[in-house]
Amino acid sequence: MIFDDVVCTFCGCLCDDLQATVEEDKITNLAHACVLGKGYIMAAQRQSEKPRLKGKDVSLDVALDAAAAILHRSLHPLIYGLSSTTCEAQAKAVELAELLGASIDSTASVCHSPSDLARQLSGLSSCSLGEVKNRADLVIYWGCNPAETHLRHATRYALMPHGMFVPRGRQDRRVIVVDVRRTQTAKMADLFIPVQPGYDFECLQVMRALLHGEAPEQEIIGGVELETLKTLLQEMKSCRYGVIFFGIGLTMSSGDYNNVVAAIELVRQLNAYTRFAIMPMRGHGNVAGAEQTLSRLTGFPFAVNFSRGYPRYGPGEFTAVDLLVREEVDAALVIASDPLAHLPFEAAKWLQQVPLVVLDVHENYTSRQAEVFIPVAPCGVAAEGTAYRMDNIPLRLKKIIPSLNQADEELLASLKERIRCLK
Amino acid sequence: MLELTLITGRTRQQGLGLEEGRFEQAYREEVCRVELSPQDLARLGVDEGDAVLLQTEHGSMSGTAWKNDGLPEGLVFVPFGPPVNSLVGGDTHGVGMPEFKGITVKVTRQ
Repeated sequence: MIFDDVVCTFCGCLCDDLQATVEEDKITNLAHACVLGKGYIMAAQRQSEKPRLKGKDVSLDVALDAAAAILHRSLHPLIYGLSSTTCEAQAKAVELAELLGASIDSTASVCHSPSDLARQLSGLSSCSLGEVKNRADLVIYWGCNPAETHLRHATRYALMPHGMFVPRGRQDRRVIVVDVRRTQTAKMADLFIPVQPGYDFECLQVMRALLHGEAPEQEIIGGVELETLKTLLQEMKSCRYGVIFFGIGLTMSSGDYNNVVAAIELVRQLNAYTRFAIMPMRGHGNVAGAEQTLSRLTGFPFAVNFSRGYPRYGPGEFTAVDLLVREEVDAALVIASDPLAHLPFEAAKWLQQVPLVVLDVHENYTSRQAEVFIPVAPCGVAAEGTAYRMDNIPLRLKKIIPSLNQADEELLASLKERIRCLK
Repeated sequence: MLELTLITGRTRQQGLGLEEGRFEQAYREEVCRVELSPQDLARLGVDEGDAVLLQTEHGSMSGTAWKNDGLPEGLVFVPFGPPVNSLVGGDTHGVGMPEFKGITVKVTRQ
């Protein structure tokens, strides 16, 4: 059986043109996927089969009962992850957080949460990837490296496609990369501008000043010659439709959300001259959906706490790293994430001290430390649902093979009912 | 010993390793890959494949040196993964985001 228009949920591109051939409940061929997407989907078929309690295989009922007991006993539980599951499962996790009085946070807090803070301060002049494909004649990648991380971003959306107003594709587009190192993406660009680490803010602010007719006294700003910044700005003013894609090079560096505010403000001011947009390069497949779901249900995109019975927002207070470093968590439910592999050691070490419940497709560093591990059906492969692309366009994920395991959404609903019975 | 600036980030092999098996040799090798500029490799007196020790005020990791012609002198790159997390601090400056980039690091030949 052949499934068309399958959505890949590896990264925020959510490429929805994959074709999967399924024979005897196995995906035997996957067309159009990049190497990362193909690896992700083919690996998703190798699902763990047995729930585990304290290292021993148990039935799903026993695992869910144990998980419910852990979370029910906890005074300060943390629900974390969410970025590689469906919006429907994320909504169940929010319901669970409310029931438990828990903190709930997604992996966004360690990737683009500064972009959320910046957006809350400045708004965001953004667009869809379809607009980029059809209109953008100037594409700037700032602090991101899609040639390594979002492999089809350039070919499917931003550089190569032949669009309505850029009929010759790459030939009709000017491509500029600003980064601290000459990445694989920089090799695809017409112009590479190396900036000193930690000086993106200065460069962006000087460009804003230049736009207002002001000029700094320095000839070099953050390792970039002033004349180069003037040339870049002139290109931005004179294009027909420009877009900045920015990555964790801005959000993870010193200055974090201030860097993004400077970029957003520059783009907003450029709209006095031409049409210009800006978009974060989202990493996980449905990290944008996690923010959409939390915002829809709680009013806030991440770092939400329900301990007072209503949602409170606290970046720096209820974000996972801060809660863990301060040792304020006494149990954790991790959904579709591997924080022990990705959080700073100072945060990860406390996570190893508290009872852990993990829901994931595969064994990972966190699941190996978990008191309860429950394997799940992979979303977009063996579980359907909704995911948001990096431009916040929702797409429907298909179930193309069966699974012995339940989806996150079903498991979280069961967990909630069991906890409700304990209360 | 050199004092350099560390940036961490994603790579294609690291992303692939996450899905194909994070306990596999390929992933473990990738997340211990310490990329240095040709100038810093020479200053350290190490060749590609040699073991190096990275130390910050938060912790240390051992890795394997690799040349990256795209890196400017003074910058070292290590892919996201458990080893490099020991070099990153837990202070988020009140926003929730630790500094995964721009960390001062001492690099020593092992």
